[in-house]
Amino acid sequence: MLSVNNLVTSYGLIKALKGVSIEAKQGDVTCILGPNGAGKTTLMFTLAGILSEDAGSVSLLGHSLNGLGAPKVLRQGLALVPENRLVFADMSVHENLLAGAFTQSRAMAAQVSDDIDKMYTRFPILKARHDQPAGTLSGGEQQMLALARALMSRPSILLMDEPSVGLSPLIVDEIFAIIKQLNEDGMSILLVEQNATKALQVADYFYLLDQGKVTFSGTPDQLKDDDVIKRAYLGGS
Amino acid sequence: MNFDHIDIIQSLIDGVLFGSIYALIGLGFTLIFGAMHKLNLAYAASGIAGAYAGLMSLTILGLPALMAFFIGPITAGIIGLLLYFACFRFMPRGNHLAPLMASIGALFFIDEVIIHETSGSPLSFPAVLPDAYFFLGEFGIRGDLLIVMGFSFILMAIVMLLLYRTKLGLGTRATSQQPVAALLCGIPTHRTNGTTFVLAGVLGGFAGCLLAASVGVLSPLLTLPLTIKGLIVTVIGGLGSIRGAIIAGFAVGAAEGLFLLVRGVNERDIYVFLLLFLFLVFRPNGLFGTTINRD
Repeated sequence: MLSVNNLVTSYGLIKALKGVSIEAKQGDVTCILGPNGAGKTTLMFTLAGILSEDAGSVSLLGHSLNGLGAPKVLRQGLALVPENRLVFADMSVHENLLAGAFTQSRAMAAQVSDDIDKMYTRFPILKARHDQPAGTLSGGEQQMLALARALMSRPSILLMDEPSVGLSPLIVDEIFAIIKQLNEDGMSILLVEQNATKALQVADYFYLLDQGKVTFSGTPDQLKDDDVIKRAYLGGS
Repeated sequence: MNFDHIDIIQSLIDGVLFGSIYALIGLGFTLIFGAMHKLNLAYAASGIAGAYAGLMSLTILGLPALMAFFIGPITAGIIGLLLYFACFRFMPRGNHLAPLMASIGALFFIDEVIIHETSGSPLSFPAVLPDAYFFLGEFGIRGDLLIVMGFSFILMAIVMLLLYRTKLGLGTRATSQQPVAALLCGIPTHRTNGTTFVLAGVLGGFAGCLLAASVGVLSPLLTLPLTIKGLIVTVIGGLGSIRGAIIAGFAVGAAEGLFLLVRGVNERDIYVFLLLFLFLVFRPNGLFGTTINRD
């Protein structure tokens, strides 16, 4: 579904991604693990069209995403829930959801309204807070809002950059339950996470990114059998 | 000091009426600052340039006087877009000094073009209802300033409607708060910023025309004071606060009227500028400014 081949992205002279190749299959949750500074967020931003790649190719359902820029990448069906949520703090929850549907035309106003209702059904807390400024929500609520906002564009694949970061364990459980439910409803997900234990509960396939390169790829069982990963990410000895 | 409470209230009324022009300029500065978190110091100059274009449409093309209020804002809107491309769009994102310096250069460029074309001489600008004067009890109200104020309120209402009731406004507000998240929502942020510069330019053009109509002349000497007053209003209102810019515009107008009465025209601006320093020292976020964390 999402195919990334030999992707290279740099910040000036520093190469953050040094030829990354990954594949995210339709209907799967594909997880990218990696330490801080591995290039995970750079990869997400490059896939979403925020950063430009120096080399390599990205395609979604056979359509090239290279050089499209974020708005066109979104129209092609790839939506990113960024790290730290980045909700529009001074805008209401409802307006944040409307912003998520920015690419929908005026003719689709009824559909947008339906989609907002669906988001309120999926995330009841957002309905309760619909006219509240997003900046006043708790971290977990903001994560749900960022997720709902991304879903408003009706993506084919959802990218999530460290959804558990900065959240309490209880809220992390809730977020991962939502990810699982979304996947069961048919959503393909590419998840970046440092919490391998939680990721194992939802992911179908793993990649390990380290210093801008993929150093491991395999199923959850293969991940659990890898001694290095077990020590570094699963607390094993 | 030979004045009573009637004089004080009269000065405040005149100041508040005139302050509506400052509110418009402050609103334009605020829109641009809100969109890009950068100051466009050529903004007020573009408004004055628009007013000159409006005046030229009357003198060269012989159009009716009211057309100046149509041609002026449109020209200022176009200049606003040119300023966006010349001073902001292609500047390195992390370099905050480059667009500031570029906009200062543009301010002097516009000023020089005006001086070159007019030989630096003031030109008469048609007044709106020059003879209208009303009495409200013991107080007199200039009809032209009343119209300026009414017109400013209409423009402010239109801007608020655009910002809070349209898709364009949604995109503008989203871009101003979190540009990366706005891109991720599919909002074309460069186009949105360009549109904001046009909108602010149109407001500046109206302000330039209204200012020229209320003082009766158009002069290149207006650009710098209007720029500084616009900045004062923006800082006092709170950088990025639309509500603050509008309220501060009227407040600065009122303070200016009062200083004019108490200290005379020669010292008036000294005290207005002093207000800026007082706010920068004691209330740097202005009346309504907030610290917004952007990505």
